Amino acid sequence: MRPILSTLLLFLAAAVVHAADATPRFRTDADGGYTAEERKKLAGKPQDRDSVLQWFQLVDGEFPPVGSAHVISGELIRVDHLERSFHLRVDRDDSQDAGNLDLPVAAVLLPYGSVYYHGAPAALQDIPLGTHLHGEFYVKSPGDKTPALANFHMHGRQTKDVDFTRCTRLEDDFTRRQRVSEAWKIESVDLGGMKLTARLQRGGEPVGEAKLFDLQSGTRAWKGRSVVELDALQPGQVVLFNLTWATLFGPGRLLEVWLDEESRQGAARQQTRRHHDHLHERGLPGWIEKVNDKAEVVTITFFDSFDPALFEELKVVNESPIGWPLHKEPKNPKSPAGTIAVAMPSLLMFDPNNDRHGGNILDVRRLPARPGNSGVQIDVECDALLEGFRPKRIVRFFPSAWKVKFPPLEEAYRSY
Amino acid sequence: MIHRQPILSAAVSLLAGVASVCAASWDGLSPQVRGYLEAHCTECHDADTQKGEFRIDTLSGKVGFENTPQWLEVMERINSGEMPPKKVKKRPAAQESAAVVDWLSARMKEGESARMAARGRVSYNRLTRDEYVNTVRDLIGVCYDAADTGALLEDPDWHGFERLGSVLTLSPSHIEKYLAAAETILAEAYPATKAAPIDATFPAVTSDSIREPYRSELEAKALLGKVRYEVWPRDVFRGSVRESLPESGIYEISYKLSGLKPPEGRAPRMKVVETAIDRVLFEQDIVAPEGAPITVTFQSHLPKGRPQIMVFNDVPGLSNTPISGRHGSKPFVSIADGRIPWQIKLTDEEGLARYPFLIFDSVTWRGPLISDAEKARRAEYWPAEETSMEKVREGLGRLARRAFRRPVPVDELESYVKIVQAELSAGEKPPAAVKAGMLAIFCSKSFLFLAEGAENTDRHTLNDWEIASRLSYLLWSTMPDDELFALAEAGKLRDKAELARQTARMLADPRARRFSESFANQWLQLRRVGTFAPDKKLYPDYDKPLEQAMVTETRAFFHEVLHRGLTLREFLHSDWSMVNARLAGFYGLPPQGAPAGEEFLRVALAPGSHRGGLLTHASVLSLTSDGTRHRPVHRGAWLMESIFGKAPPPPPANVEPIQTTPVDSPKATLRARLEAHIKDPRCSSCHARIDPLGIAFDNYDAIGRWRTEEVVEGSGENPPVNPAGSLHDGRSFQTPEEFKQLLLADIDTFNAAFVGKLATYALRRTMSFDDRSQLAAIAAAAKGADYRLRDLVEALVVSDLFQKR
Repeated sequence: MRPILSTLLLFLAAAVVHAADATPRFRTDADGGYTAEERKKLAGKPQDRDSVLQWFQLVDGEFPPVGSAHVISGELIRVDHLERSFHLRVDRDDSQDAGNLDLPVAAVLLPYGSVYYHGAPAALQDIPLGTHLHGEFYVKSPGDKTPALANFHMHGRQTKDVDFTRCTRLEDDFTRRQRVSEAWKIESVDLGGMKLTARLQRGGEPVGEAKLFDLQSGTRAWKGRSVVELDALQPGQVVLFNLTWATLFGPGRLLEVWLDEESRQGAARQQTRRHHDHLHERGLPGWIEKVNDKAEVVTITFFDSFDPALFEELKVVNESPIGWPLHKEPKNPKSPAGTIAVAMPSLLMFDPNNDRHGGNILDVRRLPARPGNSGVQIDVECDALLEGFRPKRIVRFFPSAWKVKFPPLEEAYRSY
Repeated sequence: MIHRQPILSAAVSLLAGVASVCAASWDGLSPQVRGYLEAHCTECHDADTQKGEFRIDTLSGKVGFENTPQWLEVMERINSGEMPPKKVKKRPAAQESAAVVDWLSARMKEGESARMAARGRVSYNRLTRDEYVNTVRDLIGVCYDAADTGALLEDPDWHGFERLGSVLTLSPSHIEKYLAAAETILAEAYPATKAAPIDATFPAVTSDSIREPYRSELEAKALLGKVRYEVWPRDVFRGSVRESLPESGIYEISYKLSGLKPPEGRAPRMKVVETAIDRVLFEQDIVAPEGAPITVTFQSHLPKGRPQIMVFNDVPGLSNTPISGRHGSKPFVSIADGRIPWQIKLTDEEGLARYPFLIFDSVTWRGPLISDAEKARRAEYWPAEETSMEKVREGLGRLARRAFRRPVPVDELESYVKIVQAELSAGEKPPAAVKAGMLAIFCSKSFLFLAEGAENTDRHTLNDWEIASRLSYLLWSTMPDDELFALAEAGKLRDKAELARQTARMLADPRARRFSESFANQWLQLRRVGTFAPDKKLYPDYDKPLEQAMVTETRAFFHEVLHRGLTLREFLHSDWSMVNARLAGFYGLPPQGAPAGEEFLRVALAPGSHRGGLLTHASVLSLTSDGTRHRPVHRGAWLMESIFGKAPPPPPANVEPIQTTPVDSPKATLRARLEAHIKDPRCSSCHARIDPLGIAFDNYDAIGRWRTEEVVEGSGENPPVNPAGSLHDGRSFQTPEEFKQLLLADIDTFNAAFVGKLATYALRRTMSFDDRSQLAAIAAAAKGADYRLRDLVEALVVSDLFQKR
């Protein structure tokens, strides 16, 4: 009797635990793309549609679960840095037939989407066109009726990834390899034929086959803190590099190569500072978590798209009055304070010089981080509330200790 | 004889002096005053000794009529205690001096009244500004905006009364303005070109004013016709005007709009202002849901041309200088659709208003509006043939007869026809020539003035025409209507039964409201409300709508007493009043049964409400304040004047103002600081009679709110109010309620005073000694009717006094 009972109890417990894990299953890259049969079902009756394991559909105002994105690799061929939208020319792979090569995917970075360059947070405009990138993408929302990108010359053909129009992360090869502790070990350098052979290493162990990359006369090599000639490239070096024209005529052409750890750290440091400068004039992005209309206190959740060291600025006190455009000064001049500028999902503000409102930071909390969500939440007591201070609306926060020159007119949304 | 002992010679000269002083020139002085002067004044101020070169013995006994400057001097010196000088041993008692001052002051007042009421053979009483406007409207159907800047001057007042003939004088400025007014009026009555009237509705935001890309976006969503215009606190809507007004006249303007009120806040207040002529056309609190807008309509007289109209949301709010207080290019469609993110947050997460705001849909214009009767009037005066002098004479004759409110003799009329002829011979076009004749009629003294009397005889009573005018200007503030004219023509207006019938008819007419408003305003001196604007920091809740509501309460109260056949007792104490929502809130009346909006409704006052009668109206209590605090002495003086009909004697010159308490001194009520009024006998002789009447209402602060402690500067707790006191006849009271009961017990005094005020108003002159017996007769008739106000008014109209000049 007892073994049966305990088995039954175990079974029930497992069922309960399984039921508690209520997150619906979504398709991941491990499941691969939709097959032709699955596509037919998706276009058919609802019960057929539901039988297909679908990609995760983003919910407005919620951060996506870990591992729900679809990775697309490709080259940055078009950028609208103001709207944070871009085109990637999708890498060639064996699943594409001759007619479906080199097709673009058009996507827009979500407000909490982050960009990485040289291993540090970046703005989209920091990445030169032609850089090979890797991105994490989500399908477009069901209500999105904008026509998908189609190629005129190739009879309206579209990449199979054409529906992935929302991006939560973009990073260059440097960042991607470094993030998963990969690097390239040079096996041979042919400066006459301008070729470089290298094999991927992960945690010091070789992975896969050696690949033949192209060198160009303009390829920039970094060693320490200086640019060196290509003859500094030596077999045995463990390097990182960024590519262009990847998968077209081979693995790709080297744009830049970093020969040692010092050069890589220098690059990351430089990019971090560059992004600090960028944010200093545009504010820390986040969204409104909740609003207390009566007390005029808003709670902001900050995104994880920037260096967390900037959160230290939230503790700095600036005793001089903020002045315009506040209706009244923060109640406590000896406490940290800041102003909030309303923004659009593209993170563009309107007229931050004249439309910010805010006051004292009443509280700073650290909650668990998630993709997109830095976990840092602040409560700000405002001198007045604006229409944009509503849950899930995008805002940008300026600590009052910052002396800011706001961006020029092209960065104002529709310049009212 | 000369070398007798000095004492004896002194005695003889004294006797001689006394003998010479008892001269006929002191005839008229009361025995008490005569005795006082002889005992304390003539020793230094007679033929023998003329200290300060001043002789009292030669002054005339007709105080108030002769030697007025000298008697004024005497009164001042006695009042201030300067005389008799300190060194004199035998001093008069303070009571005695006060009695003398009182008597002299009363005689001076009588003299003043008599002078003001002095009448030659013909007395001319100029029409007040309001009367002019009403008369013009009834004469020729034109609404003249006399209160606009630069139009007509405000009428000067005398103790509140604005229609006294001797006070309303004529200056070159007046003449210029009357000429300009007449030109404007005639231009509107007889425009040069006939223009088509307007009747148009247009949206608050027209689609051609919407810029791209919003225009296309709205069109794609089929929302172009649904655009509205939101107006938050202190914001302005400027889209009221689409076209020029074709003519001067009365236009009907309608707005379709919603008004959203925060759950615990006030309603948005729509205020329509014509900024070129600086006039508020309309204002009202608006509460209507977003999806169910209401239409408000009002009429306004506007000049020809393009008006400049701004509609404000006249409630306090955040400054609109930062961009959050501006409109952007993205049009507003609905709260659900949302506003621009950088604008001030008007609604919370539940969709409820955070600030009171209006949402405009559309505007409608109709006009100019003119009734058929008014059109017929204008047509009456215009000659059928402009060049025919016969027709001109007929038309001008009709105009002059109604304008002058009497038959017009042939040669008088001819002088106006001659003006027309002269203009025509000078080459003027016929319409302009006719208008010139009309202009002369409009500027004639017979139009602008109510003439009473006859030039070639001493007539002391009014004729029928004069009675018709006196009656219509009393009850309707306008010229007599056709029925009154007909009765005057038939010679029936001296018949008292007919007068009683006419009084009843006229009081039943809606125009009788003008009497209530005008008389209440003037009798109670409501003009003084708000002259010292209450300090914004001390009284943040006080604003123009509250002030207007206070004044309207008193006028509506008077009208209710008149209309419902109530008695004078209601003025002293009532268990009801007329309030609107704002005033009900201000008085703290219970919400059940209180009015909901702007309209004034009668509400019952519970015994604990601390309100009842005129004396607890906020208007009455605040008109004597100085903007920071209440002034009990002024309140007392007002009460003496308005309820007892006796203004107090003037204070002596150079009295020190009441010092403000230093901040480290203990707090004290104003009453406590008026100690001198009780302790110093020179002060208390008058102030013992004045102060208690004002202190009785110390429980009401400077703007009329009830309180039990006085909020003052200083250290310690706020002191409690002590309203107790006693009247000069000894009766005492502990509370304002008890005080009002004492007044009620002495209703005959109030009745007599009220009759005097009404008579002053009706006859347009001060009452003098000669009118005393007739006034008493009216007061007796009123008493016989249990002091019913309507019957009192009738008693005045059918009295002999009413037919007296």
